[in-house]
Amino acid sequence: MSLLIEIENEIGFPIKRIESTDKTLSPYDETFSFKLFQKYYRKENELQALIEKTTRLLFVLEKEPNKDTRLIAYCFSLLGNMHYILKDFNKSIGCFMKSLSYNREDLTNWIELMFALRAHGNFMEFEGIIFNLEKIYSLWLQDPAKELKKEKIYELISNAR
Amino acid sequence: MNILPKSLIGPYKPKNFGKEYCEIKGSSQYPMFIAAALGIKPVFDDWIDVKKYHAYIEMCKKYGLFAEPDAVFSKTEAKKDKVIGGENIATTCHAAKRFSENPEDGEVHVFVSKSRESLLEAKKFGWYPVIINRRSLNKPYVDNAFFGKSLGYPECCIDFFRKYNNWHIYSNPYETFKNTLGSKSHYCNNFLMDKNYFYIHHLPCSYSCKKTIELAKKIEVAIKEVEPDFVEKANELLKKPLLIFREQNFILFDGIASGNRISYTYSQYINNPSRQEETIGFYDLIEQGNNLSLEGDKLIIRNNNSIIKIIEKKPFWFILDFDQNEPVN
Repeated sequence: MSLLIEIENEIGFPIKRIESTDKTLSPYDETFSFKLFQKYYRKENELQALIEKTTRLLFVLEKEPNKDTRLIAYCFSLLGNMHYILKDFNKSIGCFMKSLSYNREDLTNWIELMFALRAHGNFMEFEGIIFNLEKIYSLWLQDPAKELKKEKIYELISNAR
Repeated sequence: MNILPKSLIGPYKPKNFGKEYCEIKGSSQYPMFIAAALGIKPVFDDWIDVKKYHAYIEMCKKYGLFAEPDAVFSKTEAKKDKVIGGENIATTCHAAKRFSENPEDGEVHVFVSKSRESLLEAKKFGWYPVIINRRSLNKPYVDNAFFGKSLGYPECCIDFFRKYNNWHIYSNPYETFKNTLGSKSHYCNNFLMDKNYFYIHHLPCSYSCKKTIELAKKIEVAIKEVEPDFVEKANELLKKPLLIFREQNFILFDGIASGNRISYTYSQYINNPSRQEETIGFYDLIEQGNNLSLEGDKLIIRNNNSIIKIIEKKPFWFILDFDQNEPVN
């Protein structure tokens, strides 16, 4: 876990964030997006090094026998935000999907995913989510699939309409 | 007492260039339309009545421009404090609908450019926090930088925006003012953006920003070629003194600033319809007077030498006087 502490020290904020649900009445927690932008905008090399560290941490966390799924979800979300700043939206989308696979309860993951889809040029998918956010959130909470795949996103968007 | 023009910044009626644009949309974004049509500005974004959308697209074609629709903004009765994330709404207190659902009313948010590629790049990052199902969602913060780049804003101003465009902590114009050294150029006057007469549509990093002046001059020269009367009027208005309360919340004066004082014959108050809570409650007193001054923590409104009212001044209020005297706060 020393790597986790190292990353937190470097980014300057805790990886655990305040989760939102469809019932939460306050805005979603934008710490990852805001603070990474403030600290790493136009600092590609530093960000790349941080991405490598976070990827290493996730490799370890995912192999643990008693996985801390919430922590893994936060780390994937953090990593997704890092890739986003580097404009690597494909990787960003992959990370947010992983985050949603590990933690379905945090609505923030859906918000991050839909904006990454838009940034990738998937405008229809973005609209499909943002105009049906609460419905999609609740459908995914109940869905039996173990992992969120692209096909599942299309299915959820279609069922939410 | 103000007896002269009803509005200092009324609409502009083109004589030569872009008449069709103003007939469809009005002149609020006219200079950005010209700048895009002449290929100086890579992309600009606009809001068009859904009923006029097809006419707008046809008009764009005539000028060699592509347009790409985003969401449709419509008026909402929703109170910001009842909207989740409502406190983050700075300029766009509207509900949104899908364009593809062919709504009968509202305004389509469109991106306009001579290049289809630039257009789509801008659209990726050009979402605004509008209200959907009682929720308003901010886009990722870095999108502001990506969007600014795609609209052709100077990198120094994008970076300044990154630091200071936080309505909860800063007044961006006041930070810009503090960051300004030397004479303030009217080319860096962004206060009239969306109000017919302006050259820049971004928040400059200083009121003497070289990159901004360069960009604004380029636009001025291009507009002068096709619509000289516009430039004359714009330059006149952009040099008028201002009393700034916040972004999109200021008074434009027909008058003269000198040091900490403005003497005026007429004024026009502009406030932000999306942030009604910031509207000042004493503009009628300013209308009754003919001069005002900022003295320490006071705003003093006078008619000649007689004081009409002394107001507690907020630290970030300031007078801005382009191309003439140093602004004061």
